[in-house]
Amino acid sequence: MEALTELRQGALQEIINISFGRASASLAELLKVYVALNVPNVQEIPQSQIIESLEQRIGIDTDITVVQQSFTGDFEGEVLLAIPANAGLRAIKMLGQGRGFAPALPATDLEMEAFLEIGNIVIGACMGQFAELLNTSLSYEVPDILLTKSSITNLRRDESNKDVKALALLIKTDFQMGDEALSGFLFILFGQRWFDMLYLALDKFIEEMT
Amino acid sequence: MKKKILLVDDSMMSRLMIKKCLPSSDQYSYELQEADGGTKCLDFYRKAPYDLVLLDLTMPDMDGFETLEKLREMDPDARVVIVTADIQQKAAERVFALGALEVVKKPTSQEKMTAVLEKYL
Repeated sequence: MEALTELRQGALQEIINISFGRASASLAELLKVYVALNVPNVQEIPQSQIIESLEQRIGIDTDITVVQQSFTGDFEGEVLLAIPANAGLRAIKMLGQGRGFAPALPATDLEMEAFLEIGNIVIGACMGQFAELLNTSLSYEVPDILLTKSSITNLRRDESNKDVKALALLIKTDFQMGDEALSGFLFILFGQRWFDMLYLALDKFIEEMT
Repeated sequence: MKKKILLVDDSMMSRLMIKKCLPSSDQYSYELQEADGGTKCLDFYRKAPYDLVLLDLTMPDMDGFETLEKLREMDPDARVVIVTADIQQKAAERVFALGALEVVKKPTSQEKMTAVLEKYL
């Protein structure tokens, strides 16, 4: 199996930086706020520790809502956009600003709609740019909303790889939206069986761009 | 005499990508130095000013906004071009208010970086 070299890790970080930059611009336009970005983190972790790793990064005491979307193509994986659950009403408020927004649904349904809309914008823009930079195309499954952190345990596992030592590639970036400092996390997960294809695409990117 | 350019970005990959887009140093007669963060950028600049600083915004130790602000406090004539993945209008408004000359979005191109050097060097 190919390894995550320093160069590949750097390339992946930069690709996510650029991709999430595009996504944040779309989100900023939608919410009429500034989205502050942070440096992405790329890490190989054992697949058996995915849930624990996500929980550690989000914060054990934070109740979150996750928009989760699987993608397929030359390589497959999952994207998770995690936003604090109590951010739903603030997200609705931001989405409604200046649009003559007239709520016709109960708050909880509206919150779900707001989360899905934000997820749709962020994941679509980010992964679209990610695929473009790696000169590939990805297809997406219908997004799911996971209402509590415990729902993360329902994440689709890479069933093709039963090896307990199998790895996953976890990419994380976090961001803050607007003056109310509404924060969120974006995770991208690749199972080990896709590493070779992903690293091949990264090597082509490195060769072309440097 | 050769002009001096300082390229400031925490990502080695990003610096490689930007360097590939810069025109030949012989053609434009410049020397390029690199800094992997805002703190180092300020240290380098304090020792000897640069003719042009290419500055990233999203950096861990000191972000580009703070670096730009401090740089312009140190030298109100500092010439800074922002090279960033943060393409939000509000980011551009903020850096222009702090005195940046231009915002270049990543990934950049040879045409764009040649135009930047042509214009500001």
